[in-house]
Amino acid sequence: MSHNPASTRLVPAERLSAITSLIAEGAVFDGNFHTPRDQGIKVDGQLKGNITFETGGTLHVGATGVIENTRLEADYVFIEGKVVGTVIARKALEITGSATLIGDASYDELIDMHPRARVRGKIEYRGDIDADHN
Amino acid sequence: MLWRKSATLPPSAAPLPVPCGEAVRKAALSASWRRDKRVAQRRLAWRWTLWYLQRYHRQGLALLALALAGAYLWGVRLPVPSWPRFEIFSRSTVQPEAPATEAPPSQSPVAAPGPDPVAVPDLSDSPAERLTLRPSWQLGPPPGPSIPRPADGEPADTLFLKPETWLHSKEP
Repeated sequence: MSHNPASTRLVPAERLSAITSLIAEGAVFDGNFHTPRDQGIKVDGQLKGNITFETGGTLHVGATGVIENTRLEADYVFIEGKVVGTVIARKALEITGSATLIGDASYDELIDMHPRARVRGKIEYRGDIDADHN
Repeated sequence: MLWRKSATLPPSAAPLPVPCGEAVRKAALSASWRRDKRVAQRRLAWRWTLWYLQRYHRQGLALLALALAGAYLWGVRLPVPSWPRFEIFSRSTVQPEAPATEAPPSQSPVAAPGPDPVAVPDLSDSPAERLTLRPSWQLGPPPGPSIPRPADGEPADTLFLKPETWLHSKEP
């Protein structure tokens, strides 16, 4: 049994291992996912709706996962599949080489994007641009 | 009674252990990670391959596409126009040799007169009946109605051109 999640650069493996909700491959979920607690969700199937973590939160879009018409907001966002919509990562945003992102993405601290990732949209840093010039 | 007999199930040897939720969660995540790794590696390899072929082997891809299209057309046997075009005709100006139906001179005149022999056409490969091929550029003008040309001294026909606005003109 493999106990190692996908090799990540920014998202801690402990965060991926602590994911508690799973939309399995082949499943179609139509609706919004919302929680005030620091939890995690992994999407391997198809999701049409929003995912919002008020505090904390880890979102892992698997290689077979597809999220459409969505607004994703979490501390850590790790995308390996396809996302159509807006992504907000409060801490780290990681887009792998197998990912496709159609829409705008914004992050507060860290971003990592593979050169073969397919992104069509705007990437925005939401932190203080001139923080290190003071 | 039969329905009572079927209702009595044999007791199971040992009750199956119920897995705890944490073990199920970890097992599901592990299976998902394995599948993710396989799918992601395949997709990434395909993207790199496509990029490499388009970047460095574009001409080779074009030639390969042409070869595949040619093989497809050849296999389907579409009516592809051939050039140059050859036309088949017979040499009719050459006079044929003596007909083979004439009786040989050594035939004795004493022979009993019988019915006339049926003239059998000569199917031998005589040079007069051979077909020849000539490319189309050696042929003359194509057969068809020829354009009449005016004779000498006769004025050539001139087309009468009307202006396009003659319908709207008030002048006679």
